[in-house]
Amino acid sequence: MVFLQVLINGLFLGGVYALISLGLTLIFGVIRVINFAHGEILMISMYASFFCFSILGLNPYLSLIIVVPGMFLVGMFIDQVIIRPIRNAPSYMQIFATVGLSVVLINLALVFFSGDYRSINLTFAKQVVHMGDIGISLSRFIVFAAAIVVAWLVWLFLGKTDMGKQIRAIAQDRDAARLMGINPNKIYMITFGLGSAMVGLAGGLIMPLYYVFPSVGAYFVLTAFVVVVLGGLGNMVGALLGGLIIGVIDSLSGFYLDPALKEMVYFVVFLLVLLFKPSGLMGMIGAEEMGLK
Amino acid sequence: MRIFRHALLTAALVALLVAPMGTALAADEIKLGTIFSRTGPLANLGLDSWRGAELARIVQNQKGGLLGKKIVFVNGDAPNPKAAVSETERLCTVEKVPVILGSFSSSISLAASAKANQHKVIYWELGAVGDKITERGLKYVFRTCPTGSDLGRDQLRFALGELAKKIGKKPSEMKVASIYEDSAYGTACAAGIRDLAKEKGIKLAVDEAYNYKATDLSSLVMRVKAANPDVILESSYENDAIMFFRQAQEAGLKVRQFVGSGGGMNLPGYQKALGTATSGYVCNVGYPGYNLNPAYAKGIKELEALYTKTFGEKPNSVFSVINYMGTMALWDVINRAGSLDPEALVKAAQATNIPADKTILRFGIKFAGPGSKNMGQNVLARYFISQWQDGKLWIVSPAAAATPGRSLQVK
Repeated sequence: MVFLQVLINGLFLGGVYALISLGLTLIFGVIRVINFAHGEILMISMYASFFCFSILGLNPYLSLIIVVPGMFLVGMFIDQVIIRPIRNAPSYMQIFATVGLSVVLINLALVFFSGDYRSINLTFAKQVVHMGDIGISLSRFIVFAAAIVVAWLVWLFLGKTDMGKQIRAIAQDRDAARLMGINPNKIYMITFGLGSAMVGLAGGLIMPLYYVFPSVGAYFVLTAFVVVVLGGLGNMVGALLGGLIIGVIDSLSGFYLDPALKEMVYFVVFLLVLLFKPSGLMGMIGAEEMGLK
Repeated sequence: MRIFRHALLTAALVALLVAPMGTALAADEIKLGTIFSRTGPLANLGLDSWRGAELARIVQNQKGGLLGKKIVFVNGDAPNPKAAVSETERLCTVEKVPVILGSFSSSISLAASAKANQHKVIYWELGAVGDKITERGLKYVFRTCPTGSDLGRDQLRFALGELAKKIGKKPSEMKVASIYEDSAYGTACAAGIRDLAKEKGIKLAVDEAYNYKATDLSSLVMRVKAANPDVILESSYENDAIMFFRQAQEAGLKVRQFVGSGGGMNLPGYQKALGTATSGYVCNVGYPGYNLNPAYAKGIKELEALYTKTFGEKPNSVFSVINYMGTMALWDVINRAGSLDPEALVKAAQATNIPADKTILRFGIKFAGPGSKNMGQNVLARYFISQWQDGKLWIVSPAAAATPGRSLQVK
């Protein structure tokens, strides 16, 4: 019974990691921008959700109606102002730009919101449904379910819709895509916006569970990068699977080995996967070089 | 020419700065140094700590000073350890003070006290808790306040003492879990807990470290739950403390009491994030403030009034009380030494034995002697226990010191 509870805890934690990683895998895996400001976009959306609650009195789940489209716009804005001018520059230039953006955003948040930890004290977030000895936290279940639904929707979007096909075409061969009449700038902008909206959803959904402070993004983003690479770049199902695997390893090793060792265990697993399958669990061979196929 | 002009300007400035100090030196004064962060990131609590010493100086001067002379402070400013070293150097060599009082921050104290010790100047630590300060065998360093590992010892002492009594268990029946964040602060507290547990022959049900940056503590919660303890002794920063508490509630982990060691668990943000759930459920070990029972801490109300009168505002932290107490003990040492000779002062300090009821906080002062592991540390120093009740921290233990109308509650 304890094992089952620990497993469920791990799956729910994995849901959090997966939800944060989905947006990253879209940006990192598809349009090939290593976005170090991803965690800060998470931070902004958490603050947005917090202020919707504390100022407007809006339930965090309801405030997603504002936060998610808002982050879509923020993402498109970042793409146009910061990424677009260096679109063709070497990738390390883009890394510097997004690291710079991350530092700026953290410090702006420090100036405007101070370094205090803020959290929402929501009764719903504490509700636990008991099934025998197993307790299931409703708000964590929502995050878990959202991760699965979003992964599925984006997978459908990329596979079935015209826009999704354009995104994949750009990822595979930009020049050929352009010859087919696709406007790369528009696609990049929308993809960045979409990735940001997804992390906005993550921020809004985890706000009732966690707390926000200017550098909160750094706590999550390293794990998110691990998840993305583990799952295979640009692969939505891979990100979901990667997130859940890391969550379960984290939870099981924390309980059965030692809480202080859990990070070590999942990094060892990560290294082993990369050793035997460098493209990640679900990634196509060569995807780490070429991008999504 | 420009260089010459600069030199001239600098010389003039130095003369301006030094001149008033020189004239202040008079035969009927005792000049002592202080090292606190008066500017920089620690200035807020550093300055409030200094105010405790300043109040003790004012009180003593009203009583006629020391050895028939008035006490004067030369106040050094140490925003960081590097500045602490140079300010200490200045106090020892230029100002030639026989004693330096400090310093709120452990890193500043470590740097400044080593320097003072080199110059055979007494370093009188009033508020910094780092264990290392008195573990270096420095002859001229004394500390009146308790240490970091005392935080842990007092957590356990309280759990096996008043808490066990309140919930009706024998100390030997108490199941104690110890969890701590794995940086210097948490490990020092946990070491104190382990130390006292060994001494008392108690086996800890859980003794686990975690990283305060972790984004999830559910596996730790499950481990603690599996051990089914009566009390959780916790040393956390703010965000991890909130997370542990929330995840413990989610997992249905029930104990009779949480006992923190200050850190994040006595911050308003902790209480705000968790709301009424902490009321009567979370205790904290730490320095007491002005909400002590006046019948126990005799003179605490008068001290608060003097603070407000002297500095024109209400006390902005609890730190002035412990600094006041430690400084009053220094006056006792200087009076007994009868002179400001460093060897006489060390001898008098080592012979210190101030009984509990002679100090405002009612713990006595007696220093660990030469040859002991923590030479110069006040072995009688104790923390107090407060508990969150109705959104505020109230002192609940020792019972006699409890804020009037408040007492320890358990779940």
